[in-house]
Amino acid sequence: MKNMDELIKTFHIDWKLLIAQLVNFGIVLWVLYKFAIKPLSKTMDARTEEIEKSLEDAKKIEASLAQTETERQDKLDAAKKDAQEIIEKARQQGERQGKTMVDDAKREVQTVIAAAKEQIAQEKQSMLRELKAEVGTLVVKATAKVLEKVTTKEVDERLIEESLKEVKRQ
Amino acid sequence: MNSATDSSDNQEALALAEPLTAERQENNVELSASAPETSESISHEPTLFAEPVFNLGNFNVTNSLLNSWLTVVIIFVLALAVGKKIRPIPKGLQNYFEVILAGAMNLADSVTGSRQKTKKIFPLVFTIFIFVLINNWLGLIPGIGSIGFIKSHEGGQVFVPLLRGGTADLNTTLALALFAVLASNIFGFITVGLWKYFNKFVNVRAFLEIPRQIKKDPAIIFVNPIKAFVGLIEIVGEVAKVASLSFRLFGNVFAGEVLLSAMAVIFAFVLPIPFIFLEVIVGIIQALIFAMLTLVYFTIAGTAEEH
Repeated sequence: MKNMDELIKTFHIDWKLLIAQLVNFGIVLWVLYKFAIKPLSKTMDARTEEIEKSLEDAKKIEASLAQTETERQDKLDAAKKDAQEIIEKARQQGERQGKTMVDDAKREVQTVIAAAKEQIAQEKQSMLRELKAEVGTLVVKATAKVLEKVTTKEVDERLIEESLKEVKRQ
Repeated sequence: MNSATDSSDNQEALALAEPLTAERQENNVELSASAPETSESISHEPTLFAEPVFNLGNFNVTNSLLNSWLTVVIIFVLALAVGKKIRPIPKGLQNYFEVILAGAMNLADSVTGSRQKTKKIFPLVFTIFIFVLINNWLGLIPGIGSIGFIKSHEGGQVFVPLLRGGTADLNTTLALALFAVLASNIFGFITVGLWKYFNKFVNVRAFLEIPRQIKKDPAIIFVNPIKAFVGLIEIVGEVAKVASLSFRLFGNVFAGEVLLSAMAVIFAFVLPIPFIFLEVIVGIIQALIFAMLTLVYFTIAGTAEEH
């Protein structure tokens, strides 16, 4: 204890001074904490958070950008494919249509030809008929003229009969 | 020197022969006239303690306390200047403070091991660092320790500096050390728990464990009393912490002041300059050591005992 007293005397240790210095330190602690450490660390933390968030956001944005890019590319590809298909279809359709048109034309031509042929045949027939009739009358006239001069009644009758027969047979 | 020996001779002569009063008076006048001229009679040496400058009631305001108040004012102004306009995008003074704060935090992290723990202890330790640092450096400013007044003290005349480095007084360092160690212990029993923390010093649990574990491990009957004894040594350790913290800081700063004044006595120009730089470095190192040790004490107190 004597040593302690000597120590206190040598260094002039005074509990009042100790308390005064503690009060000083307390003031400094309060001021530093209140005005510097607390708000500064708060803003620093907030800034760190914000930067982290921004970086994350940037990453997200980049990802979404890439996604939209691929989506766009996909859409473009699909559109190209669609267009190709449509063109192909149109081409096929055109081909088909052309073919049918050609077929129709052919068929029509065929029918026209057939009709023409028939008409021709009919005309031929009627011409023949007319011809026959005319020939008949001519023959009759000619024979009459001839017979007026050469034949008898018998011959005449027989000839008429024969030619009638022939006409009938025809 | 001649006059002094003369006067002592005269005193003796006076004692022997009363009637020689005229001669004595003459000598006395001579003494008082020569005193202000010769500097030997005014004590200029740095004292181990801070001298009282004036009194407030029965409270002695010492020059170190004055310096400490100056430190408080400086830190107050700085903190206000920073804290007044804190912006999310730092500018000017805020930049420097943020750099210091972030660096100190990282350093503290390397000791505590986790940012969460650091956040609990940091304000205290950082304040200790700043307070000690400013106090150390204030003591180096020219004028502090050299401007003062002359006071008669115990017969002789003593030069009393008006200001003296705050940490060059054991009262300041002892107050800080006591606070640091006490606070670390309080922090310890808050984080670890009162019973556990109490057992760190007075290891009751070590004795309570003996009957339970003696069958498993008979050596425990020797080991645990040793553990309890170690706990008692820890109490001495706490006192040693206070002593080492306070005397280290006081010793370094006081020695620096003695060194500087010694250099100034040898040659007042140029010669002290390198030593002033040295003392600037010592000031920051001592502040750092004090703060780091406090941080270590807190960290140790805050971790549960693992044996």
